[in-house]
Amino acid sequence: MRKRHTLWILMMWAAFGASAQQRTIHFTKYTLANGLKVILHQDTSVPVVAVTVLYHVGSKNEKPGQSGFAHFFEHLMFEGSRYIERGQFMKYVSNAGGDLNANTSQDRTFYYENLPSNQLKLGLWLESERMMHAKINEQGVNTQREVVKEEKRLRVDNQPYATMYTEVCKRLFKGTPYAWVTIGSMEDLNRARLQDFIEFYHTYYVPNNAVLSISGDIDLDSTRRMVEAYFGPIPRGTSPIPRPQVDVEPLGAYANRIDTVYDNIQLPAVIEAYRGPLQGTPDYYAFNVLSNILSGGASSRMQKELVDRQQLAIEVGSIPVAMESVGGYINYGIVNAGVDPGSLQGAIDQLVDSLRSTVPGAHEFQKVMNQLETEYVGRFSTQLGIAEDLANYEVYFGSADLINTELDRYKKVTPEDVRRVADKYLRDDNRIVLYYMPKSKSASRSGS
Amino acid sequence: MKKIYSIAILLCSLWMTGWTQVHRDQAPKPGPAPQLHIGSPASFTLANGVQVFVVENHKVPKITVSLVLQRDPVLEKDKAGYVNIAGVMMRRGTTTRSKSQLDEEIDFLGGSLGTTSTGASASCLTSKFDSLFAIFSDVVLHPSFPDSELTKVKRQVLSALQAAKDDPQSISANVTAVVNFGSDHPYGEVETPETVQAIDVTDLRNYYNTYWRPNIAYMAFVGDITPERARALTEKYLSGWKSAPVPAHHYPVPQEPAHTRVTIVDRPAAVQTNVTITTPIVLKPGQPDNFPVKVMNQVLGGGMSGRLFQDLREKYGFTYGAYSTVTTDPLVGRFSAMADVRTAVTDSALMRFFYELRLIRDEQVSRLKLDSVKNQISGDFALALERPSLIAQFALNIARYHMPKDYYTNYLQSIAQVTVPEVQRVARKYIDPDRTNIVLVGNSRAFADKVTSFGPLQYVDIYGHPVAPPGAQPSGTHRMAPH
Repeated sequence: MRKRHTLWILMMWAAFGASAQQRTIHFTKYTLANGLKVILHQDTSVPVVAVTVLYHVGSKNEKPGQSGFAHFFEHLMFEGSRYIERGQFMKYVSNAGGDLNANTSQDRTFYYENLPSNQLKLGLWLESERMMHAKINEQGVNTQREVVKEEKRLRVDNQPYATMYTEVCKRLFKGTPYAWVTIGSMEDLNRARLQDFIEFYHTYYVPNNAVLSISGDIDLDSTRRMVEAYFGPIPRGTSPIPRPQVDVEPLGAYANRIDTVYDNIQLPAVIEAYRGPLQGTPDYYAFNVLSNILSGGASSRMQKELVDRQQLAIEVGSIPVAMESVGGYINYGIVNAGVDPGSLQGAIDQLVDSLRSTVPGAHEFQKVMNQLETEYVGRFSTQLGIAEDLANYEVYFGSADLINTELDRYKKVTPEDVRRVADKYLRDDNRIVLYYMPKSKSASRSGS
Repeated sequence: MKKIYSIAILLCSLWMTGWTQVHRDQAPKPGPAPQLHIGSPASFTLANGVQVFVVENHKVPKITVSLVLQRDPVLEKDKAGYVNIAGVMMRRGTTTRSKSQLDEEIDFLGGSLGTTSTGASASCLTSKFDSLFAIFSDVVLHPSFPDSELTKVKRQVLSALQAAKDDPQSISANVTAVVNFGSDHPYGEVETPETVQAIDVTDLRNYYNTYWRPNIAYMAFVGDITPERARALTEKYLSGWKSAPVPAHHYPVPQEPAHTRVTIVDRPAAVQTNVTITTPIVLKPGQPDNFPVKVMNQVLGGGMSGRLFQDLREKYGFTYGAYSTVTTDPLVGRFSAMADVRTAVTDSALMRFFYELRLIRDEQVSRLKLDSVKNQISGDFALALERPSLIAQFALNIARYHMPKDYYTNYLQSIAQVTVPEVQRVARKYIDPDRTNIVLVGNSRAFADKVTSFGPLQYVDIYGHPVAPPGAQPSGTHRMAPH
């Protein structure tokens, strides 16, 4: 099917009545002959448009010794192209009154321009030049290497607790390409070479590995013609796109072992990270309900018990980290001054254990469903958000239409499902434990 | 493959495009400029003086209400922090609801409700909004300031103060406030463990009774609501709120320093120096200078195409981002330029900052640059209108700061009228590299001796109190920039 030079036009109207309040996002979806998927959503209420391109490549595609490569590469994608001088990419957008940015996750890289709607063509030109003619040279690599290292210093090395996600991934996803995080290591950033970047470009930045998602005040017919004109001539990639094999191995020695990280912090923190369901699976929805019961809102169990009643923590939270090929779930707390991290961990564990053994009550369950309803019905406030969601559903689940049925999947979750997934995933042998301790304490505890 | 609950129509046909000619070698020309429509919100005033604005937007079945009090800043002295804590405590219990009852009821509605010392806001789906508004008004009218909650809040604030000792951004925020405004001005007061310990519930009650009055209150409803419904709700729930005279406060206007000076907070563990160059300025909301200042700042340090970003990041790779900001305020505002740079280039980065600060004063911007920056500002303005809350913000600003009624409807026109000489005039008026504050938070032993040419050095702690310089020691270990 991919080889036929046919344009597939897939038009969808979601027309279900289950969640009467959820706003339906109408869109048009089709695929160009070169494999580029295109999604168009029209909303004429404000004269703006978001032009976005999602490339299905993230840090999990990096080879060992090349950590940080995908994100470094994202920076290079602002350096210019055959027809865009170095330094002009950003200027075209700001001169047009727009803004732009990009971000890289473990699974994908996402570029966008927000523009006044009369500048749609500019966005198409810039993104098609990026896909077709990006200029990758030593000057760009050397400048952006320093910028990326500053980004790492700013966001990770110079921020309290900011290495937490790195430390969790290293242990929880060991043996998989999720064991490192997108920012990478200084050593690997220093090692990155021009030739590797050029190879990366030709492998992953091809139309058949991308989704062009456009949302806003557009005319559908003329937008289609412009998309064809700008993106149609880009050749399909010739090499196969590597999709890393992810084999999650047992946690082994890490399981339930308390590892201590010494950081420039004042208050210790406790982190319990579990392996969890993959994004989009039925367990994932039940798990997000569970996550809200534990830490969604001031009346959630962790907030109420640990911060309010026992005053063991100044801050608690849960972070579901469901991704394409691995899933994780983090409970964390920063202790109140003078509290021992062990007692905070004990109190968190009591709450987790009670979820595993007891089905949540009807009132509490309804409360969480109400919270989720607000979250999903109230979203879609920006064109950029809609464009990104459409692209995500398309890439990860093969159907942008799932954007309209997310709440229905939550409505299938039962209170017993919550207990079941708690018992399935929130087990001691399915987690790693980290204590973050002030560096000033490391001398006295160097034996541990 | 999961089930799809939708009607999907698959058209498997060859779609013939009318080929559009494009020229890849040049940027496409924009289409005709879209019309911007800035709606004016409905408004009414309650008998007790609350001014209410309603911005209808029915796209999403959700309503947000916010309330803001317009009062003069309050000097807290040896109890610095009590005004903030009063704001936190508004949400910690009413005469009929405990904190956990509030939490439970608000969460059950799937809503959110937050308070500060000068306002409150709440949001939820349309279908549940009446119930949420009842709670909102209870919080605003009948806070109980329970002693037990204050004990908890103080403990959390003290822990947070301790945690902030390792957060370079919080430290810089404290110190820039002190150097700009002085510790005896409300904007320069910094809360410390001592001042927080000194706070008791009487301070909070007095604050509430003095300042939470309908005659200085402005409210905005945004979203899936009609003016009629907003009026019915506010009349039902807020009519009992009693007005009273609210005291005015006057303060001397903080001045820029006589000479540029360098204030350093030593953080030996830092791998970056947080650099801020900052001066107090008198620039009130609605003042005509706002337009040329906006343009000038956009040229200098507004976003990715600002000179600071292009220079310090794109040319030199010193930082992840360098920007400048201008804050307007009815009392006293400030100009700031800032970046986090790696320790080894602290002095080089300062050189580049000062180069750019002088350039914007010494040389006129080109006509081309002026036009492109005007486009940027106009575009930002248009993009921001995507948020209906902005329309409400405009109305609130005009009412609170007594700004010209057509300030925002004429905004784009006013920006378009800014001239090249005006940009230079306001740069010279508001930016003075010879009379400014440099605040550096970082590993001072690695850079202190290299920044003395910028001005006399003074060392302060994380609250801005003067301290002795860290003991001098030869530093053979500090890292050099890789080349």
